[in-house]
Amino acid sequence: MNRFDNMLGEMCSIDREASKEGWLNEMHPLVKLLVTIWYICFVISFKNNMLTGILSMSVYLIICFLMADISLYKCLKRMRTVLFAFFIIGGANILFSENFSTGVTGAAGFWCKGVMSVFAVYILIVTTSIDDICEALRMLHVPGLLVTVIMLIYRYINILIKETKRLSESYFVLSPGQKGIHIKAWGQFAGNLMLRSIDRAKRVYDSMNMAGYEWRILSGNRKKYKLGAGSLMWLFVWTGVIAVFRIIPVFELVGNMLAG
Amino acid sequence: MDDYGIIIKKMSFCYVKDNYIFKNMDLAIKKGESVGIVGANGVGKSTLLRLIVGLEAGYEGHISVSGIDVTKKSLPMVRKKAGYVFQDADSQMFLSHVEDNVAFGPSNYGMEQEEISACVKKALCETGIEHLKKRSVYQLSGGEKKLASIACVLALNPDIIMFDEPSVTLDPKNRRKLIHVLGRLDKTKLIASHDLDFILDTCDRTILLSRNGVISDGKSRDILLDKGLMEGSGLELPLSVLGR
Ligand SMILES: Nc1ncnc2c1ncn2[C@@H]1O[C@H](COP(=O)(O)OP(=O)(O)O)[C@@H](O)[C@H]1O
Ligand SMILES: [Mg+2]
Repeated sequence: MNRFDNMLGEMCSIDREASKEGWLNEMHPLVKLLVTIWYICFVISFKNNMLTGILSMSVYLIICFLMADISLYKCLKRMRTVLFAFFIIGGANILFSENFSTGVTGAAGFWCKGVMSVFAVYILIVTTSIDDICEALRMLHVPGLLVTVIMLIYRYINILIKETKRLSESYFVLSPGQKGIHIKAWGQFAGNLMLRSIDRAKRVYDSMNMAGYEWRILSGNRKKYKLGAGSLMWLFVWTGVIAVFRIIPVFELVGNMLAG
Repeated sequence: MDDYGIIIKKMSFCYVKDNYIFKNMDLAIKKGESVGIVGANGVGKSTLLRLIVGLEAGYEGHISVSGIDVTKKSLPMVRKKAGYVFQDADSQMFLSHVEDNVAFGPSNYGMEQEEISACVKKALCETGIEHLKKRSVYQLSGGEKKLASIACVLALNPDIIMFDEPSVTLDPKNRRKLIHVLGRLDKTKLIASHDLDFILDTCDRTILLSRNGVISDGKSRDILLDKGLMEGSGLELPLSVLGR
């Protein structure tokens, strides 16, 4: 049950970091969102075997981590589940390729692409609150309903974790000495969990509407951000640099130059 | 009609067709009144509050709040005039920090940042929890959570504020604190509860509901201390009276 407390605490602290003051936190959310999407698209567009090219893209990550003072340790810890999944899928790559060495390069390329995309997303969420990300999506003319759904899913995760916690606590109270939830109870457990979560989510949605949420969506009444010079520069510099690194094999050129 | 906060006329409502929870109900609540709504479990106390703020649609008859008819169109106005404190504070506070939750309402209504901060400060002050401003909701005790959820509603500065079972889950100390906070609130208050002592301490007027609608409406003392009436509707006299 401690696991749930940890998860809650972790989400909580991510949110707190996002609302912290700092130059990357205060940057226009739309700019951060665009740079992140741009970055991930370019990273993914590399073929799996273009390892040096892929690695050269880490420049963006390194600079963000250093300049915004983001902890790499915390990032690895929080994202460990996703990273592990990438590791497994990448490993499968080796098994299914004809030649072992191309398989390994492919897996490494895939793994780097995955890890780097995850890191880029992490930089976004650790410096931007979910509300700001949603505002940015709306500025990109993503339909209001879709944005609401995204926001609700984010809130649902909270609710789901809490409800799972409550339900499993009551389960363990009634079945002392058991390590996990007995497989026979799983179906009912899941069904019950779903019903409870829907019920809770509905109440949360009611209370959001009591505070004028629906009305804001309908009237388009949104918080105003100023697109400052700093934000614009961040946008242009990074879209430029990322594109250049994608098109020109910068690492190889530098390497060749150093090698004479 | 100007001195009425809530007017209900010939209102009928059912969740399941023809299984009416309210039938031709009439009720008028003056501005500034504190009204307790009591009745056994399942008589429709929560439903009544939810109807008033438009969380349940499809009633027949007439409901108006601060002179505004409750219809789908008027909901934003109605909800700015009448706030609703949910029975479970966790549903009311879905953001991680107290401050953000309290600011959620004002920001939806398009206020400027300074104005929002002022609303938050005032609401936290009225509930006496300024010191919890920066805290995470997960770290609050039950009593603190209840007060914080009340602050969320107060931030919109409603004329009317409704509470659904506010004292349930509170320990005696927090319960007393809540009574004190409610006593200081200068608003029209509607409190649904089966905690009769709590109603006795907070409300001048009490409405007794049963399966057949309003069976009694009058001064809290007169109703809550009437043994025959209370037991007839499945309730017990307040403990403070029994103790004497
Ligand atoms: N969503 C719903 N669908 C159908 N019936 C409901 C629903 N909510 C409440 N009820 C029924 O309406 C009646 C009144 O409920 P409620 O207002 O919650 O009572 P109270 O708050 O007085 O305990 C109960 O009999 C309950 O079973
Ligand atoms: Mg109820």
